[in-house]
Amino acid sequence: MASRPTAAASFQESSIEAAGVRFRTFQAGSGDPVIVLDTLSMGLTRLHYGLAESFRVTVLELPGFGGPGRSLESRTIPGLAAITAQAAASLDSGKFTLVGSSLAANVALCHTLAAPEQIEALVLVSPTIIRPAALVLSSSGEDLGSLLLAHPEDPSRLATVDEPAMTRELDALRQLHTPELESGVERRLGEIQCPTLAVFGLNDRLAATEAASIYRSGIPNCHTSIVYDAGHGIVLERPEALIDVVSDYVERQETFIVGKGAGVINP
Amino acid sequence: MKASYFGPMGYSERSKFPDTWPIPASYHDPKISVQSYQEGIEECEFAEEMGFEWVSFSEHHYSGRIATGNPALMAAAVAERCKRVRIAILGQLLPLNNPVRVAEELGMLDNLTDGRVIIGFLRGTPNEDQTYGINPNEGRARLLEGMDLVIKALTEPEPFAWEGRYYQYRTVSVWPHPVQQPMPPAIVATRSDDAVKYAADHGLGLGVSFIPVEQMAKVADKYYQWCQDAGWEPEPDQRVYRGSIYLGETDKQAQDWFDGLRGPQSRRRLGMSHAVEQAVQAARTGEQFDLRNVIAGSPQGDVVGAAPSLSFMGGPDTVVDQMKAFHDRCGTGVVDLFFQQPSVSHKDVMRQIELFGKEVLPRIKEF
Repeated sequence: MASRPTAAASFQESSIEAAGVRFRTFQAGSGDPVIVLDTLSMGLTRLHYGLAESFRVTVLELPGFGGPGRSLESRTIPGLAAITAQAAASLDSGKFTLVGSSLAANVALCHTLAAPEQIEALVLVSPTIIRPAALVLSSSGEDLGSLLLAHPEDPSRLATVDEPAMTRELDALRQLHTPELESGVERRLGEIQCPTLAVFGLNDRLAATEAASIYRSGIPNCHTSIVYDAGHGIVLERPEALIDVVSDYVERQETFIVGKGAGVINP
Repeated sequence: MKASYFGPMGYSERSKFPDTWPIPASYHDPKISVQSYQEGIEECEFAEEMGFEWVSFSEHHYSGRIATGNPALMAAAVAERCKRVRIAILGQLLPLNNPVRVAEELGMLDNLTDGRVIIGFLRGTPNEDQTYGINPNEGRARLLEGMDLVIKALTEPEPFAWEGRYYQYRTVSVWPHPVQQPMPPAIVATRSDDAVKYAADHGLGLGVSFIPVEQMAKVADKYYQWCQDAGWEPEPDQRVYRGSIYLGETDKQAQDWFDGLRGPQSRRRLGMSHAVEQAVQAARTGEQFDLRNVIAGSPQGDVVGAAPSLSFMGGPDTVVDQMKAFHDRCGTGVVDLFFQQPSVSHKDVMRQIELFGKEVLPRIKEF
């Protein structure tokens, strides 16, 4: 994907400490607050930039993935969620929309269960905490393509991916998933009271196809969205579609189903 | 091998139509039209009585030759009269339609028929692209996305939004879902590599129309190889060939009928002007087309020619042999038969259906 250098310049890097853990943060934009949990294994993506055009975006980097020398402080999803909740509280954003993709979506879901008072709305992009597909992983780029893309025949889509970081993230997806975690979270979906959007690539090989309906039926105010022609890494293949649906949902929540496109051809 | 009766519901005086598309509504007489539909339904009923296992319908527009602009509507009417046969929609033109609407029609139809529907996905001939003004260059991609969306809409148990390249819906929740679970059998009607591969990759059947057996064999071989690569083997009902037929009592009678055709009707093809056909084909392939390069008044500015050959023609023995060739060389499991040739009357269609049921069908069922 082509980068957007002008927007990239608007993200300001800083760091915060919470629960004894140091987090890198990247902030840009203005408007309603949006916190994006992210491993940054794809760097700052077009989703971050797209959201920053309309919202005050804080990217909160999950420790342990994005660079050398950092270690994962908590080796459970709920453990990570507990410290991201503390980190988010320290940002003093008031209620915010929480966004996460892949592993970070799993953390965001547990974050919402742990600190529901913080969350205005929740957006889960390619979550795998419920009904993950079998993950067979080696560290080769070829495997990354087949795991992340609907069209692995086009490896250029992986150009922005930090392969070691992504491999660590995918390893963590597998290692941090337990049947107890899955059943516990699935049992608690009904506790999530905030508006929730779960987005899946139609060709996601890491999430089972029936997962979407489980979120939809389990969370009281949940919508699901299927992105055509995209795999697990939706932002790598259909960034415009992902930005469109996520931005629209952050802005309008459940009313995003109401059409607003103009149909007039020649007024 | 099974036989399917293709119900085009042709206007009975279609032989008077000009060699153009679209056919102007000025040719439409309501009394003749109503009678034509009744005769077409009667043909479907008789085909069922004579042992055909499917009746099929396909979407075509702006012409009385195949007068089923909405094949699901036609199928619903016929399904009330034919209570045993499978009802095959071969197919709906996905690039022209709202795929969610298509899924809704299919869901309803499968309920109305208590689970007898067979789905067909089809891009359509170039003239159909003009019906609702889609860009022909987008037809292939719309077909591929549309198939994914219809399948998702028919199988997803909870409401969902769809973020496509050509379709965006924030609420999709088709009701009713099909009786056949997870969805009715589906066939991709195509001979284009990408759509054939789609069928193989998704466990769907393949339907091919009107090409000679040698060409059909090439398409079928690719399909079977890709199915094998995907780890499955299609059932006979997933190997469909639609062909035109004229069944005579003898080979000579059929040949005499064909010889009598060699007039203006045998030249009929798409019926568009050469300029329009060139423009559509160029748009489909993404090439440039400049109308100024077409010389006005030239022979090529007129209606295109080229006679369509019949897939099956002759007496019963010959037709059985022709169908066996499709079975043996292409693996065809279902022949979907177009009896309503341009100058063939309702009475002659009924005669052929009876003859087919008595003399051909029992023998091809043995394949």
